[in-house]
Amino acid sequence: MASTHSPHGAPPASPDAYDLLAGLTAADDEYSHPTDPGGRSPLGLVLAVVLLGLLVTVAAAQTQSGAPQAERDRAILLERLEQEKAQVAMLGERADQAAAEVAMLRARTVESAESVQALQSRLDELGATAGSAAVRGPGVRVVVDNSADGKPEGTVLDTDLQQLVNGLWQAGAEAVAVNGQRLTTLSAIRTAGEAITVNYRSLSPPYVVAAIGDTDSLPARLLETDAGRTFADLRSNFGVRFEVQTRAALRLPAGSRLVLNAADEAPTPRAGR
Amino acid sequence: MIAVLGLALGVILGLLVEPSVPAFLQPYLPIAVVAALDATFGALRAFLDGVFNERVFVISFVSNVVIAALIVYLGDQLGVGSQLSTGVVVVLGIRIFSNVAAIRRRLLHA
Repeated sequence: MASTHSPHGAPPASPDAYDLLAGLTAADDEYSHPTDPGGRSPLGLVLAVVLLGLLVTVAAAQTQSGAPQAERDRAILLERLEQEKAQVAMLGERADQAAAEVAMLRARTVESAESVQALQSRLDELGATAGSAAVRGPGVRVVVDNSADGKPEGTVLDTDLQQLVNGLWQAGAEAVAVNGQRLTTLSAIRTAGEAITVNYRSLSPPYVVAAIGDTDSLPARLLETDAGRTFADLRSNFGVRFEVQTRAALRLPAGSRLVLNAADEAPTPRAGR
Repeated sequence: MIAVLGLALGVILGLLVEPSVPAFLQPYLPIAVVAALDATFGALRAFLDGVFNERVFVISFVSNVVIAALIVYLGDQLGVGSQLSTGVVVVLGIRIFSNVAAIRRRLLHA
């Protein structure tokens, strides 16, 4: 607080100037200016004092009557607090229950997923055997064609192909396809007119018979079968083309027309029942 | 003596009648009480000083109460009612303390 330096020092406070703080702290001087000695009638005094008592009492009563309301509000709030606490506890319990249920369902899901997986792998296995699923693997590729001179004796017949395919099965083939037509349990190799049909599709020579199996044993075992010997004879006597090649990777498509008409799934006995 | 009797009469009256204060007057009641207390302590001090005057007391009592209530009412209308209430209570409280201090000096010489 920078005080102004006047040459005359601080101006003397005027007696009329009202200093707020001094006025507040100074003793009440209402009575130091008595104007009128007044009558000594105590009526006004009594009235004022009665009024004072009345005021104080009423104000106190007012505050007291307000208190029960506050108390009631507080009680209501406490009650609601208790209710909410109970609800929180109940909800927590329900959350726990739900968590347990989730865990149980998850375990069950894993279990069923495992059984689904087992079924799927079994289905794949069966599909590979039955021909309903595409398969790949090492195998042999047998190329058969009519003889170059076109004589009837050098023509490959449907029975020759049947024999060859049966020979391949015999030699240990796991899946066989002729010119990309997968052989299934319902496949037929027949002659229709001039052409040989497999799965009702006409084929044109050369016939490529692909078989998946053990590449070490399959060619040799094929040549030991009747089919192998027959084709070896046909090759040497009539010029029929007959080549056996091993392939590291063959891919056979899924067979078509695999529809079950009469067979139905038998209920599989489950373990533990 | 008559003052003490009057005070007792007022308290008893308030307790017996239990007048219900109109809602619009309720905010001003505590302020009026403080103002009345201020006037009362001023009167007590004046009495001890020997300069008590009934007329001054009655007029200061009534005017204190009315003015305090009016100030708060004005504050309410201006939206600063609670602040003005605080101000009035502070001012009257300081006056009450200074009066009581004077009374104490007079009575206990301390």
